Amino acid sequence: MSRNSAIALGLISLVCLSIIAVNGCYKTAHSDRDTAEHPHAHAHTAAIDHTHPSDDATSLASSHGADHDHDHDHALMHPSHDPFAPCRCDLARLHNGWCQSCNVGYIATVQIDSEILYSTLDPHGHDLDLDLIVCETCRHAIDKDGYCDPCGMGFVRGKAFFSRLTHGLASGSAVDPVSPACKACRIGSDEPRWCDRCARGAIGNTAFNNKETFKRTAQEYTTLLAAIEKTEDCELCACAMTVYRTCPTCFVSYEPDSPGIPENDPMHEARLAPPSE
Amino acid sequence: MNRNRTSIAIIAAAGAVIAASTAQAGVHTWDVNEVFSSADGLIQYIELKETAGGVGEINLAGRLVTSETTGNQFVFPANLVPPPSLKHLLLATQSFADLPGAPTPDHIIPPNFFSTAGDTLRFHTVDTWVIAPGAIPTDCVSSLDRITGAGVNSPTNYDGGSGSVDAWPQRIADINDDNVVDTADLGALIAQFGTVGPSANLNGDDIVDTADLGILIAAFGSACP
Repeated sequence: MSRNSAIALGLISLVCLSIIAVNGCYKTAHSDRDTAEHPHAHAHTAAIDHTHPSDDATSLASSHGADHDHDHDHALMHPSHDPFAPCRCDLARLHNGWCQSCNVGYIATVQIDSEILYSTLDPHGHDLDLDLIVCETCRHAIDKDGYCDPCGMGFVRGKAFFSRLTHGLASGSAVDPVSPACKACRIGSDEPRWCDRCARGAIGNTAFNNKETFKRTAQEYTTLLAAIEKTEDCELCACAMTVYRTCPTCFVSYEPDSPGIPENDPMHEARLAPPSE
Repeated sequence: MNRNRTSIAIIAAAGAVIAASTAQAGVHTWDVNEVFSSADGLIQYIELKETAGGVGEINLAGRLVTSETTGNQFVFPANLVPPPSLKHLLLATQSFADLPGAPTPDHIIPPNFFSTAGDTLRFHTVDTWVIAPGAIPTDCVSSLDRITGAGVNSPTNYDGGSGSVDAWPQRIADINDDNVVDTADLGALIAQFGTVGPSANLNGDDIVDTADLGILIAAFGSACP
């Protein structure tokens, strides 16, 4: 067989491999996220379906399964600017992604103009060598999908997340904020809202079945809004706010209970604002 | 056979491309790992380390390393070339880079970038190292490691180049080990003149002679900076 034929055969193999890989990833990502908050999320979803057969709210997670193809879309995950790229804000909004064309990112459907803030929050889980992590709280967090505050690192299904917000969002399940059939849920789609009728909360593009997780993540969402406001003054302060650290240039500490936060800082209000119910 | 090899190579390359495209990029697992300074601050380095085996921790462009005490900042100019897992990054002064045995720094920082009298070093918002006053050794050979404390310096750059430096190359003439080359050392050399030494045999040629005296005179008055 000629060299060209061999290359052609190789390219065909490449295409086949890519298709297999993408399909495999999609199925894994989809099923993982459905079960993120509760190992038996599918059963829980079915129960809601039975209670409200007219609602399509119960199919929210699965209705966006195809969207998880984009979990593996490099351009959608990594901030960069390409004014000639097609606008992908719709996808980015659904997947906590970045639109290269508009040079903006989205987390919990909130638009983030600051690349450094988006990257600091980094909504997509990281693959680390978990065996290298020796912190006992982290080890416990790995086992329980928990969060280690001293290290500023949490885990969901073995992937690492570096903020309370993104860890909380990863613990929920994907949802399109405009699709809930339940009116109470739909009304609350612009802000974190817990619906007692559905026993379900929503923050942007993410649904929660666990109320505590919802409340905690909603608080972090409020901090995100404050941080976005802060980017006008100092982007690194905004970054520090979201991870409760110290700004490396202003040296203002946003660590918990820090007395050093200026009184007019949006972080003050963020800490005081409770999530709505 | 050639056909098979070609196909395997292409498939392997495809796998690598897919793996690379799915890696999550970030900076979160880089920590400030080791610092070294001469007493005068002209010879310094800061070593960072990727601590968690992260495959995508390469997005350093625009991220800062800062010293709270001096206010100095270093901004990374570009992202890293993967893979970064468990690698080191070496920021150092030019005077460090000029020392024999020094690995090539990945980036040059100005002298006195950080204070040896206590400092807080930060990498972006993801790592903070508070260094107590007096914790950084200034004996020209010891560094401060984040985990193990003071010990012989071991700077390592991103390519894996490593070494150990003596910030006082004239140390060989400090016969009595008091960190300065002075008349006491001269006296010790004269006392051993014409013998095999050993402590004043500076050039290791089995006899203390005018060659050793020349070395001492060249270093006379120097001290660990």
